[in-house]
Amino acid sequence: MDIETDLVVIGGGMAGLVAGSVAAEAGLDVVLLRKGHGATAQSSGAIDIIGYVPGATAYLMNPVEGLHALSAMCPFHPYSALGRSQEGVPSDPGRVVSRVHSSVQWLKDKSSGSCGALKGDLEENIQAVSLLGTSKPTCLIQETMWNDTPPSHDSVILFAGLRGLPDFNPSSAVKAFMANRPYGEEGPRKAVSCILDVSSSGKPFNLSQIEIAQFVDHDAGLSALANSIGGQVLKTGADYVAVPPILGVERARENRRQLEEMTGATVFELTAFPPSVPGLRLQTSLEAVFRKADGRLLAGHEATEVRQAGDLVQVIAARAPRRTIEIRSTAVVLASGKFLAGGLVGDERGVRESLMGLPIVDSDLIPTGDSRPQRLTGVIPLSPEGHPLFGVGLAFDSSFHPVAADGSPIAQNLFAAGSVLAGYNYAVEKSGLGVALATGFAAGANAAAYVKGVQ
Amino acid sequence: MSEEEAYRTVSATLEQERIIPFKTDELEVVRSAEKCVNCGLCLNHCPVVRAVGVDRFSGPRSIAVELSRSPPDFWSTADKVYLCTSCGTCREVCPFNVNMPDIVNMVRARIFKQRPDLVPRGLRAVRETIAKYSLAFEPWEDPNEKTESRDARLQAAGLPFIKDRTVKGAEVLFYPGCQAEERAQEVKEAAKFILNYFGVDFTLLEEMSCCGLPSRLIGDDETSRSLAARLREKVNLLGVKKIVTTCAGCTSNLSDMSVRDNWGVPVYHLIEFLAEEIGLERLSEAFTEGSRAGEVLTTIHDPCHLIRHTSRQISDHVIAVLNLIPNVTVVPSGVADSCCGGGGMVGYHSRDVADAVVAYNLGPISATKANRLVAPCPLCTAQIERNLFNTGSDIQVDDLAVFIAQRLPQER
Ligand SMILES: Cc1cc2nc3c(=O)[nH]c(=O)nc-3n(C[C@H](O)[C@H](O)[C@H](O)COP(=O)(O)OP(=O)(O)OC[C@H]3O[C@@H](n4cnc5c(N)ncnc54)[C@H](O)[C@@H]3O)c2cc1C
Ligand code: SF4
Ligand code: SF4
Repeated sequence: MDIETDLVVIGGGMAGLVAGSVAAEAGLDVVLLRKGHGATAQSSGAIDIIGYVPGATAYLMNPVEGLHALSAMCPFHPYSALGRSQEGVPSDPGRVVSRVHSSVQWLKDKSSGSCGALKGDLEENIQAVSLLGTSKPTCLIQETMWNDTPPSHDSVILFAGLRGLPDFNPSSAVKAFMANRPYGEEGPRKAVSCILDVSSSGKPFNLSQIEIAQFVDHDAGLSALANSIGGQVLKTGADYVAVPPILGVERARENRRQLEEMTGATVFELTAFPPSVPGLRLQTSLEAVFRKADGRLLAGHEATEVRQAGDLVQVIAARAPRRTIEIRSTAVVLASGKFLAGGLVGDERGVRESLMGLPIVDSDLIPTGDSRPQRLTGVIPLSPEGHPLFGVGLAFDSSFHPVAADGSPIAQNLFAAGSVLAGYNYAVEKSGLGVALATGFAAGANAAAYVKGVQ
Repeated sequence: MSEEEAYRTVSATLEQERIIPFKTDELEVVRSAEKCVNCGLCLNHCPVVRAVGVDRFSGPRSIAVELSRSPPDFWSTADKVYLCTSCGTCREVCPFNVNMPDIVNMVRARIFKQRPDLVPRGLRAVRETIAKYSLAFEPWEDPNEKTESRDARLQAAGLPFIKDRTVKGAEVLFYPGCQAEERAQEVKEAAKFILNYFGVDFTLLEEMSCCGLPSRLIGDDETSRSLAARLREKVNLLGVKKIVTTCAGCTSNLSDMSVRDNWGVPVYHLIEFLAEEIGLERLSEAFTEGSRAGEVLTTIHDPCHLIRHTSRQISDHVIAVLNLIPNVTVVPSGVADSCCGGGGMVGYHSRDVADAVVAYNLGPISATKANRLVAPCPLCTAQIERNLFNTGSDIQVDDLAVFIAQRLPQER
């Protein structure tokens, strides 16, 4: 055996890193295997808890209300599972809210001061404005996207693009923003746009968000950005400046503070599409939390086999580019993500869990069997109902054990968390990172309790 | 037309159309490029993009979706594909582990054949050296001078000379790699000393020859394969059961060759061999007995070829072994996506790019306040040492083998 440990976590996204950190903080020896980056790194970095209850078209002002509604309406939802103290009893909404709340508070505490530091409250959804000038409800956003006082009726908001950065067209964002009015009727009446000149290569073309963000982490980049924004603020009289998420990677928060000092305006980041810098900051800060808890992260390691004896999983085989290892572990958390990360695969044979071939069900707990992924998509590509395909995954019990068709755990020491679970459609609900956080938090704690129980 | 004739006709037109068929092992690489979903995650991590921007080096996503999709006109990508340092960072973060370093090798191999004029001049010079000597560096003209240089290095490092030996049927082949054979001879000597200290039954090659990695990176696939085959023959003749090396590039390349061509002999980096085969307990005893060097606060550089091409576990081994040494305190530099810039042969033709890549590592290294940096690879050691020196830093850079050898007892 190459490694012996208390807990192996398979997957290095939000769910896996949170589960691993919680277990390591509880004193477990944790090894986390990460094949690559998944949806967490792809995300906008804004953490959705619950934006829409299934079937509703109006967004939720208050996620707590959403969690209450879910636990009544959707018994198989992962959030609802948090509300059950044991199998077969109805979900207690108060318990759901308090457990989600603990995980949110934990994450805010742990990431505080880091490049992924978060603002926001479980009691209120935020309308985060995107690069398109549109907005979406979300619960926690990075400090660099947050405004202590949102722009008011008299504010002038400046959408500032960067010359040579094709991802953002500030003048069309202004149009969408004015039509959409994410800050409500009280929001600013005046929005203007401009193009900044900030280039790490010195050339006004062919730039990527990441290289600008990395440039701004250096003094030269920061002062170039400050000068450029400062000039536009003088010209337009703007008191709010909305920029793409390029305020830095490691130093983003500090950079923002300095920019605001130098320009006199409030400078904040819009949410962006993959590959976004805030997604990178989120991933990096979660990894830092895990390392700080003394977790051992084996990047570039893909779990290839989990061997089970009786009702226990025991040995995990993993493959690095040119080595293979075997790990004996007291417990395992499977947080391998959905289709993008490879936790689930779908092909002509149906949808499968890729590592252990665990049973797959849809949001109503119906086994998908050999249904092809196409059968699980609707005819309208973009509809409020979304596609059932995104609700498929592992069936699980209230301890977050993956379960067999008869509801019994696959193994006493196997837990699962995050988007590999069935029962929620993150894309339409706007609940992706929130479910990964809350279930990772629960699965990590359950695995820790299990390990301590047998030791 | 018989099948045989048809095959010949088609092969002939392939050549006319300048299409070079993929070898079986390359097919896997091509399939890996096909998995790319164009998500761009890799762009956030590529150290070359970070250093010079997407305008100069269009980055891994572009390699996967554009530069690898241009048969037969791969040559059109020549200004870009030679700037990849082959660090493997993109492959490690990619959700589908798209195998960028090998895709780059595959493209470079085709440029090498179709348009040798577009192969950067610096690389052509290395190719000539390899063709002439089967080594990546020009060997010493005068063997006495080589010995003198070796002795001077041994003296500077404070290490005794262990006699060279070639023994058929030995357990372990110690393979120093070209850099430690011709230039950083103290690394080769340190490794011999360590193996000898622990009573390992080891042998050297009768005549050193390159593992084929530089040729592979240049695109000279034929030479790369023939060097690998030659080395394999030597290994078989010696009848060793294991290969141990001190070079990160040799570790990953030989591991790859050994599996690809069924050598049946596992390859270890020295630090893996120490951690896994000698064991931390024996190492700890030896260090306690040996501890004659003074206090050092050291940071570590993790070579791409070890952590991203071989296994991240090796970097854990490095820390575990260093932690056993009395008077040595390890401070991690915390550099994300570190790369010395020396890989992929980039330094041979675009030194500015290689240096811009390593520059990112220097700040965090200095910020650790360490007075030493160790790297388990003589190439990384040289690249970082030169760049630290140029910034006026007084951090001493040591190859890990030398650092360890210096902390073992000299007399038994
Ligand atoms: C493009 C995109 C944008 C999104 N934007 C948002 C957003 O803005 N806000 C929001 O709240 N949600 C968003 N979501 C949803 C949200 O990101 C995901 O639901 C959430 O990140 C899932 O986290 P996870 O940890 O379960 O999975 P992932 O983050 O996907 O992590 C899975 C991990 O498992 C690893 N893995 C898989 N198989 C193996 C194996 N065999 N061995 C080792 N490792 C393995 C993967 O490499 C990866 O590290 C978005 C999703 C996508 C796809
Ligand atoms: S190589 Fe991988 S990370 Fe890069 S764009 Fe393609 S799929 Fe995404
Ligand atoms: S191997 Fe390294 S240098 Fe080459 S494209 Fe990938 S990340 Fe960039």
